[in-house]
Amino acid sequence: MSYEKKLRLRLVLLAFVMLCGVVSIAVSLLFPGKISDFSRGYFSGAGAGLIATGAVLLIKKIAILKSAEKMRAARIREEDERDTALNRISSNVAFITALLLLFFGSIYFAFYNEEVVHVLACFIFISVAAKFISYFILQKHM
Amino acid sequence: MENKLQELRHAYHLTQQQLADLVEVSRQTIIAIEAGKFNPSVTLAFRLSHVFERTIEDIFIYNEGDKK
Repeated sequence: MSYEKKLRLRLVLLAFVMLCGVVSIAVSLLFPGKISDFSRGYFSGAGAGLIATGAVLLIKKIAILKSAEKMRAARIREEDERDTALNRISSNVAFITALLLLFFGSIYFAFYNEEVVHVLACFIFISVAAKFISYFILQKHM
Repeated sequence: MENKLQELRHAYHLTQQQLADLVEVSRQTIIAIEAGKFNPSVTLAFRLSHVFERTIEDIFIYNEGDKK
C-alpha cells in the first residue's frame, strides 16, 4: 500500500475517532438521570479528548497530503528503519510493563474487590492471547 | 559491525543529511550507522551501496563476533 493510501485510510480512521467522541458526549448529555456524575464527566471528557485529538491529527494529515514535499518527509520520518526498530523495542517494554502492572494490580485488588481481579485477569488473558494470535498470523506472511 | 560509511561520505563530499535524503532515512539513522550503533537492513545496505557505487562488502565489514 502506498503511503498516500495509508494517509487517506488514516483520515477515515480519524473521522471514526471523532465520531466516537461525538457519541461519547451524546451519551453524557442524553442520559442525565441514568448515569452518575462521575460517568457523565468521564464520557464528556473522553469525548472532548477524542474529538480534539482527531481534529488536530486530521488537519495535520490533510496538510501532509496536500504537499508532496511534506509527504516525503513524513514518510521518511515514519518508515525510518532505526525509528521503527526503536518503536518495536519500546513497544515491547511498554507491553511487559502493562502486563506487570495488571498482574500486580490483580494481586493488590484480590484483597479488596473480586470483580476488579476478574477484569484485570481478563485484560491479561486478552493481551497475551492477542500477542500469540498476531504472532501466529504474522508467521504465515513472513 | 564495522563500516566505511563516514569515510565514503567524506570522499563523496556529502553531509549526513544529504546522504540521509538520498537513501530516504533520517539523519539520526546515518549517525547511528556511522557510529556502529545500528546495523542497517539489507535494503538500506543496497541503497547505500548504490549511492557509493560499491558492493555491500566494500562498505560493511562483517566479523564473526558481530551478533548485534
